[in-house]
Amino acid sequence: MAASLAVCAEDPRGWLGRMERALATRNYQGIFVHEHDGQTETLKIVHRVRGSDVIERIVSLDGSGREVIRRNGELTAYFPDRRVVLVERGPEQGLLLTELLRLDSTSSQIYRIGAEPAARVSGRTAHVIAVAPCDDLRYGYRVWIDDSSAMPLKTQLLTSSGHVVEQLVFTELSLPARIPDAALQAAVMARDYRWMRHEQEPAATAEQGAGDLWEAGTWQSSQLPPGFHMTANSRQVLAGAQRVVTHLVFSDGLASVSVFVEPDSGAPGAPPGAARPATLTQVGSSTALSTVVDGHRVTAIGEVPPATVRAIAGSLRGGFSPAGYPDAPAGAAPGWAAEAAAGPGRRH
Amino acid sequence: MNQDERASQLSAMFDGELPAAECELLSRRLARDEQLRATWSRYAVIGAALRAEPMAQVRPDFARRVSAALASGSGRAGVRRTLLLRRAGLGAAVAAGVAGAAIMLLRSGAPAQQESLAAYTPSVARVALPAVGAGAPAPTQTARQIESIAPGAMAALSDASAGGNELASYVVPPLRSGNDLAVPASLADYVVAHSEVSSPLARRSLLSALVGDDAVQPVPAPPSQAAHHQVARQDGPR
Repeated sequence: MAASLAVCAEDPRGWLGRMERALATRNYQGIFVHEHDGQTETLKIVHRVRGSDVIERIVSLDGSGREVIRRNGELTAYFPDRRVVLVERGPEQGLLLTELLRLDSTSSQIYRIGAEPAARVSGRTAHVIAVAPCDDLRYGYRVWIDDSSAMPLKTQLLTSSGHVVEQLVFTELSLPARIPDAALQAAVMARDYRWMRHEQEPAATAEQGAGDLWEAGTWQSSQLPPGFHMTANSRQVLAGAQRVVTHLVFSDGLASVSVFVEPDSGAPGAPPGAARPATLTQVGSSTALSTVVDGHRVTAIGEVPPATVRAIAGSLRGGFSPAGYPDAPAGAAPGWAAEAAAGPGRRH
Repeated sequence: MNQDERASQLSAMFDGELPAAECELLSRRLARDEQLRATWSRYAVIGAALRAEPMAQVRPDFARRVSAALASGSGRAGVRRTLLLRRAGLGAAVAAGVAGAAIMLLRSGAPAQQESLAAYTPSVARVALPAVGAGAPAPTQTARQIESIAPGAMAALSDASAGGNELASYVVPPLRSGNDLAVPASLADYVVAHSEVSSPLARRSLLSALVGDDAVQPVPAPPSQAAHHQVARQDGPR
């Protein structure tokens, strides 16, 4: 124990790597408290890894009955209070670079990683690793990493001045060798609900909304906040909208911001493309911005301060090229075909 | 415990076959779960109808065996299900998810079930079920649900006829995948899509917010009327 505490002082990156691997490879389940903006929620999490098959379930314990289940890139969100279930499939895995904290040599210029004195959390010894941002365009983290399991027992999200924006603390945590299927199934009886999932395979042809795609590289990355670069560009269908959107992802190695671009439907009564004020919403510690750029609705969301989301969404202004649009890049459209064939009752 | 297991528990309880300890747990669950209570009322009515007629009881693992039968039938079973319901013309009967499953088993050739189910179905058809609750979806909406739900959830058929109305249609409306101009995506859709590309710590924070935060609620899309919308869209400027 003493030896590992000594090692910690010289190896904070090593501990972050161990934590990352634990989150990705261990079975775990527990109860944690999520505090943000003076509000507190209690949630249960169950996470099972069987080879390449990863299932995670997060359930609210505060009475709403809401829960989400992630299974190999598909996320099902149950909203009993609305009697709605959303089923989303993420972008093609090949386009994603964000399963890991990519704290590489570039990001070491924008984040400083260091160790703080070890502490105890819920009776366990934890190494305290701090990731501090160099500017106020992004948040930092302080993580209490369990000495024996490398699990993040407590996590804080901080501003550059050290103010705690959000905190997640496990009050119960176990790492069982086996987790039964029943623990990963929704408790909600969603039979009467509206299930919203994509019904039909989007045809990746020039005919369908080709003029609405944003071609990678036609826009001005020099306008991005320092450290951010595009890490993914794909087309997706969001379950609720039944509509294809372009999904761009920007990351600085730790934080990521998604930008969704779609044709603007216009405010009720107003012509499409008419100027409307941007709206900002907080989703927990993340910021979401919605605005209209060049006749397109742009929605940006990320775990960064509001000014950064605004800057990233604003950087799109310089690059929209509506004419001469190519077909979607190969592999960009989500693989609905296989899923639809396997599901029941697909009409032919 | 998944939906099927809870459905079988309810069935078993009505049949007097559920152990006392489980009954107690189930009733506590009923006190908390509005959806389960709605199902309970449907089962209560079916149970009353069953006891009044000489026929086979619904067995506790019925729902699970139906799911297995459907799963083995896979894709084709769903299409068959759509046609069957129209021919059979069952209105209120379909509102009992159990009865709906009975129809499918009958057709998909599970012989062990046929005798009891043939007797079961007509009786239930005479039951006038109470309205299940506010906001029962329109028939075409329900049809869409049928097409999209996984085998284990076939009891979405229970939506079909609150108040015992004959179903107008089970034809799935032709959905367009793009450019439905009338429907803004809800914030929850974006949160969910973004969570897939976030780092693990950030994802947990986002999903916690989605699950806990009252402000982030999905706005259900109204049924698509998109045929003419799509044409209009293509005529628009590119």
